[in-house]
Amino acid sequence: MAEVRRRYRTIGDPVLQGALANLQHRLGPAAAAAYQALPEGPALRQRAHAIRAKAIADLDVLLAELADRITRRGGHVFFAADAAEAVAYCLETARRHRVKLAVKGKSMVTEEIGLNAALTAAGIETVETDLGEYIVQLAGEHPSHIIAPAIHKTRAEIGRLFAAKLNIPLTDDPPTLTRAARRALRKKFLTADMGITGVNLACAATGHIALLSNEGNIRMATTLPRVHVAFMGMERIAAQLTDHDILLRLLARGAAAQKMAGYISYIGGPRQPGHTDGPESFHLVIVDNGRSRILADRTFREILYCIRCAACLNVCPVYAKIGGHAYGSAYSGPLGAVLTPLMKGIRRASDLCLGESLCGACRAACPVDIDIPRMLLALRSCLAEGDRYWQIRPLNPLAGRLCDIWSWIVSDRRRYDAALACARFCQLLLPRKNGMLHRLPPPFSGWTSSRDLEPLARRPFLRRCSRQPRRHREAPESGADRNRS
Amino acid sequence: MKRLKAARTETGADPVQRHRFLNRIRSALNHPNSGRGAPAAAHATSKAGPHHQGAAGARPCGRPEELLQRLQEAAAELNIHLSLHDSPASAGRCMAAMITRKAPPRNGRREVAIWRHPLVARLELPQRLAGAAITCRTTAAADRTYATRRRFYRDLEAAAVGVTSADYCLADTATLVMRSRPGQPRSVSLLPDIHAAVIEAGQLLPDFSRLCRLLSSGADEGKRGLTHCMTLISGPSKTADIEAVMVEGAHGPRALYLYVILAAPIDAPQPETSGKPRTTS
Amino acid sequence: MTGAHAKLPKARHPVSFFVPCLVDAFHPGVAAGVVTVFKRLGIPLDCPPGQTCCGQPAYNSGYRRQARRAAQHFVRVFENADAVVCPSGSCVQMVRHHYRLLFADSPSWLARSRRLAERTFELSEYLVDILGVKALGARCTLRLTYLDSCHLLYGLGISRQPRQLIDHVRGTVRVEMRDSQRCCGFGGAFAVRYPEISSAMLADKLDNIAATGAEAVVGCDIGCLMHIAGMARRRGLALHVLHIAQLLAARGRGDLIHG
Repeated sequence: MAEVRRRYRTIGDPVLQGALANLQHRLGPAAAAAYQALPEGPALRQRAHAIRAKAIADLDVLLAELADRITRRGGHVFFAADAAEAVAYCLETARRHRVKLAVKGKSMVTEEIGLNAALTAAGIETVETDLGEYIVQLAGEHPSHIIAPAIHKTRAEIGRLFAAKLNIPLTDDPPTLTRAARRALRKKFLTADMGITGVNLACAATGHIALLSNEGNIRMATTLPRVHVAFMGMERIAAQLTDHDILLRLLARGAAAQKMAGYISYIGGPRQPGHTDGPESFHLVIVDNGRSRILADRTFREILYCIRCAACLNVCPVYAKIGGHAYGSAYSGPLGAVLTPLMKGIRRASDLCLGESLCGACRAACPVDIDIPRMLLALRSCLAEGDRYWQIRPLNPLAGRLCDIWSWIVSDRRRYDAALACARFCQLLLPRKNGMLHRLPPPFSGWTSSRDLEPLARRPFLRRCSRQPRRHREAPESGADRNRS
Repeated sequence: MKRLKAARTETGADPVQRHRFLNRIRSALNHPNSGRGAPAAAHATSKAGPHHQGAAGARPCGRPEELLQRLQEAAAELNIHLSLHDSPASAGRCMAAMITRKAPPRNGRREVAIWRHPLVARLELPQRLAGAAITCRTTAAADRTYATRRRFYRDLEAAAVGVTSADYCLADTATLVMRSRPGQPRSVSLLPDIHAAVIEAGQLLPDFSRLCRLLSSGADEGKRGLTHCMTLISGPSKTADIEAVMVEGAHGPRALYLYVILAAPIDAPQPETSGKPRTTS
Repeated sequence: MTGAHAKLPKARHPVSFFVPCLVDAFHPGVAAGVVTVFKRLGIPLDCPPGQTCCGQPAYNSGYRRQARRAAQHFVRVFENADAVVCPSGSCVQMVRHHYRLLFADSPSWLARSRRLAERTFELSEYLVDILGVKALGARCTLRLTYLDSCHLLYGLGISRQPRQLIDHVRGTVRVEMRDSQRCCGFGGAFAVRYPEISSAMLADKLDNIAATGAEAVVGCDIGCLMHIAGMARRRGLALHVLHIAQLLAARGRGDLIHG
């Protein structure tokens, strides 16, 4: 996490910042407009929130219903308590079916549990098939955005990468590069033994998982290979199909300002007799991996409502500056800033909790209206005050003491005035340039690294109020703020 | 003992593991950790509440002309080549001309894969394309082994166009809805470069909301349900993963042609009956 | 005086003036502007001298116990007011939305803070939505751009009201900047603790302001404005950074801009 600490504090290179700015300008306002254009209006987000809340409150019932229905169709459902169990099940399934080549659809939860590395170590060639994920895998990197995994790479870089790895002539033309990847991956699809995917949203009432894509790679991975293993975070379920109606429409709008994802596959089990397509063996792995711990805490339960659309990444001004890799986990952006500390440790990921301006753009963009700023504040209070449930001690006890003094000062105006007078005296010692404070001492020096600070006014406004003899509570009008000390 | 455990893992039905997992959720839902500020919209943990009908249910279904209008707008947005026809013969002529124009030879042959489906059969593509020396392969409803499946996909790879119908078409988003049936593989709409689909105007539904309600109703469609695999297709396959430049033809078809037959003749089969495999060739 | 003023009833209950601590300590002129505006409206403005801070600095850093103590002081000072007006979206958001989380465990304080929250308004919101006034008789020949502050925009949903008030100031030309809804990177302690990210966000904001060709940027939150002024001054830009209360009180360009 020390690496995260450094990266989180450092802004990305200009190319990355430019790419993220473009992405945000393209998708951020478009998603907002898409919510406005909903037949039900943007208030549908609040209904979606209620649907998610209900599903999470009924999670045990819904998961049991889903598992029963899939099992009845001949599918296998495995409940994995943690990453190790989920990975082990997949490896065991691969071994049993003598899998040599696996094709993968984009899946956040497999990133979370580190599946690719385990499969590769077991001698199973594992190929990411989403174009962005494929690029990132060829480059030996990790995705930096949920729906645009290779947003940090330029077309020229991708051209050089493909020329080296796919033996094609050097080009930076996106259609040509896309066709090259299509040709290479088509071969993999046709020979793969196993398809691995995530789950966008399961449906308990019908017993299906829904998978969304625009490229068609997920359809390939769920149609051609003889084994399909789907991984889902345990919270990714809705009670019924009419809930899917609302959630999937919002998901497509939040993710890419689309009315509907290009492809949606509802899969409820293996190939049936008489049918041509689909795997002989279908496995659904439902992953807990720390989620039940979040579930038990009402303060943070709301983060489990997330449907991983990346709308918050597409508006977050901090994400735009540092990029997805700085978050040090599969989950980046505002969503990651809440989820990663809860999964990996709040103290270890303290930069993720503290490093936001709390502007609130993420909540306004969220298709299920998750109050991310509220949870960031709650994480900060875990850090500040410690928390028994999350087993952490206060990050900085000294700051807590100073804050105690501050609260003592502000609960009395006379003390407050005395403190201001003291601060005004201290600022006489600081260097100035053009009437502005030019350099502040630690811990305030961060401000003056790039900005000046106006000095405290000679007299606070309220001192002038209270000095007025007769109608002392009437506010004075005169006196501009130019009379500085 | 070890073998028993392994067998359980294969079926995935280890009851102990499942029980433990779900119990963890149950105790989390009842965890007394409510001392801290709960979100304002705190909810009860009541089980399996009533399945409510949304406000979307109040929306009108739309008249046929209206639906066609909406379909045309949505198709234009998604670069779907949409054409309207009075009869299957007209649609068949138009599709055959498109195939003759667009299908490039593969390995010296020109091939088209077509679904075994009554509406597709009435396009009479094999006869229409015979003159252009284009072979039509109709998909058979056979139970396949893995080896014969692989052969099937290899043949399908050689086809330039895949011709299918659909269960429904959602007008607002130009979405084709296909449920899995013998003789109607979903790979036909996936592997070839071009996907051509034919539907009748009567198969139009207004939107996804209507589909979801239809499939979860107690009536016929609700009982039939989603089958083990339902695919929704809105436009050609596409990606914007390289510098956000939109490219069509990522992994699936690079073009989608949709033929809508407006006036269904009296002997037109219902879409539901298309599910039963018939021997036509 | 314009026609809008004539409609105003003269006798009113006094409005209590909640002076944000940054305004009090750094920019008394902003508070003076608010006083001028209310004097022109003929509404008595009461300024409780015991007020200090709403508690937001501690709350945003996670120190809820200490924030609660400040908030209790705030509630005690203001709870008898008929209406509380504050020239800061951020402070109003604290009172309106965060006090109920802060006092979730204490029913009596929750009730007291709720009552207060219902009567606490941001300045532009109070003028436009409650009083129904847009024209305040202000004059200033100035090409300016309006800055949306995050807590005002996302927290309180206020973006139309300040623009309407500005558009009724005679002589002003308002131009929209690109990405006005995007955070300037202030965020209180965030600006100090993560200076590199914060400065990069601020630099974008200054570029967007510069691209409008405006002489001045006007906003409703002094924190954001001090942040922008800080970099503008460091870079030696000839940009005037104004709070909306100052603009609304102005009777001419000379009231705001000197030299």
